[in-house]
Amino acid sequence: MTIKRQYNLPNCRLVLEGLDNENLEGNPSDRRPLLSILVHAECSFTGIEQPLSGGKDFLYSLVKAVSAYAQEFLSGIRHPVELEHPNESVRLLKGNNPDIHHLLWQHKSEGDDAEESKPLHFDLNTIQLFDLVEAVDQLFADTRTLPDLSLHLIPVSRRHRKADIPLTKRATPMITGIGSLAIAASLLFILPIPKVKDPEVIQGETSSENAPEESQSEPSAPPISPEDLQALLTDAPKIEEPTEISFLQRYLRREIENAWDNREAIQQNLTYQITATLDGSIIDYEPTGETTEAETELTPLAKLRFLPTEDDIAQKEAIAEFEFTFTRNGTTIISPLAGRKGNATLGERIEDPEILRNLREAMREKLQTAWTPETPVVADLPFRIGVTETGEIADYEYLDGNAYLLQQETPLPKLLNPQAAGIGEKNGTVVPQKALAQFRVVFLKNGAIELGTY
Amino acid sequence: MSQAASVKSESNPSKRSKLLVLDNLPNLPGVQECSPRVQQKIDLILLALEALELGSSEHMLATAQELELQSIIDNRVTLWRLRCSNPWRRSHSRDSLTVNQAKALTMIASFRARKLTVLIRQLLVARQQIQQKGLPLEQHFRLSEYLERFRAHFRGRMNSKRAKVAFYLSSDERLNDLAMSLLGQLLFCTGTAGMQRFWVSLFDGEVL
Repeated sequence: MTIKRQYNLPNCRLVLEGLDNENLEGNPSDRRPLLSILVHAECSFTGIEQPLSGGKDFLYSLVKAVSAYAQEFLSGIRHPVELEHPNESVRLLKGNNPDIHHLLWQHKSEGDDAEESKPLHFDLNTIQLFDLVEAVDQLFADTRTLPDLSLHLIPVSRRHRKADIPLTKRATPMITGIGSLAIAASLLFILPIPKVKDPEVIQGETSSENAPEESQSEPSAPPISPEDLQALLTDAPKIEEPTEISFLQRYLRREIENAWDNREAIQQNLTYQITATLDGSIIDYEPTGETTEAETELTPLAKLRFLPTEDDIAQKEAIAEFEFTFTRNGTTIISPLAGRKGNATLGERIEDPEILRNLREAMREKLQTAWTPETPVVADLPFRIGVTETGEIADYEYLDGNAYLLQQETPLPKLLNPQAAGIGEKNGTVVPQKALAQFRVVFLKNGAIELGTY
Repeated sequence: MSQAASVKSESNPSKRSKLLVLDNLPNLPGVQECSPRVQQKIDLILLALEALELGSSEHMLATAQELELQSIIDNRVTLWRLRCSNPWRRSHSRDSLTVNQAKALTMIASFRARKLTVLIRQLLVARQQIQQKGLPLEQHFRLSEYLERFRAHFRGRMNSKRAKVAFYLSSDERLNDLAMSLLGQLLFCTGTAGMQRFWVSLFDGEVL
């Protein structure tokens, strides 16, 4: 006796035809006969003319692919599926748009040469995909139809996820990532051990505001493969806002200069193209011109590089590209690769005249106490400083070449506290999150300090 | 368990039998308590539900009662405290959810989603139609209302000092994308096995 089962959803219909196994005919009180041998299966979508159809291999491949992809859709983490019958198989892949899902159906029609046939490609939207998942789940739940098919869900493991990339590809990020691993390890090492809190009935909204940042204690997603990184770099939106570019430029130059120890070792200028995200992380660098990969050892770039994680890719973090040169004189040059469009600002400014007056007095005192040059400086050194309402220097910039070369002679590098204005990797941005008062400060040859508005 | 079921006359059934409902969600090998990432995902899906319907936390509490989960979630404050396990929150509690607490929240989310199936489907269809016409999502009144509420909830409760939060806060578009992705997840929660699928997906990449 032929039995037909239909799973009808608004956008998807799954129809199975099969036979019952008479030997297993059990309880006659069961009104629905047991469909235990599948003869034909057909799956069709509203709005898509061609139905998918086939026998047992097709259906089993379909339900396996659909079930795995549903989990992938929910978690964003890939669920690899083994194809048991490559000639009669269904695969589902993420589209470029989160609302598009590619369904690839490989099947062998009569007289076809398997090697020649190309898979048919369908684009499903999220609702069509869901209806397909629902049809499959109803089939799983139906104990009178193919009882060997049932819902079987297992989360993918970290180990499994890494294992599906060939070893050679895995080794590359590991080697290049050792530097960042070392940084991460030392950072984790200095993290305070979390205190065990006594249970409290209820806490106010602000009570945990001062708690140490916990982002680093979260299990971090694994670093990505070079291919994924390349894809990220090509697809990623570019940071174009001139203010963001100029803060990023200052931040990167300072970070790299602070990390650059062995300045005498460089015999000739070394130039790189570096790629960074808005939080100031260097995610990639590449030697350009005559600079070679080997010379990178003389620079702190490998040490500073931070491989993005899969989460970052999912979020499509915007990137900016710069040309960065380490000169043989021990100085650096940085410029945005795409040039700068429009005028950069210094972020939001504190305008209130009274606050400005008070801040200026406070800063004069702070700088004067901090500046006790043992030997007089050779020139007047002008800087711009950005000061928070609480009197912290969150940003500074030299205003001439002498000031750049001799900034270490001034107290500015020591007083700098970008965190006070919400700048830094932890905050996800190098642009100040608070209004700053902008002053022009000149460290004079005679040991005095000149402070005015900028 | 069978014992508890047989003692029907007992007016105070054991706590254990009450929580049988949680067996609808499988225990995962090696998972004793939840990671911050799991907690964050659960709270966000609840946040999306709140943006979908007014008075959502009342509905969630009523659902807890319906599912006989009062021993885990007895009132508004408990619900709020469990949700504060999301590390993105300003009022992050630093407590980890137990497996049972996480299961309870997942069940509540799925049951609420199922009640809102029609609305969820409507909004997703609307999104698709609007995008095909190349119009901004705000063109659709109900969709724009959902996105606006989601953004307001997210801004009000999440800690902008966290890098990932700051990322989403930096533009309405990013928050809208997050809200739409959560709406898609809610749709999947409405299905026959949606609750199980959502639950198991929380642990993708978490288990060994």
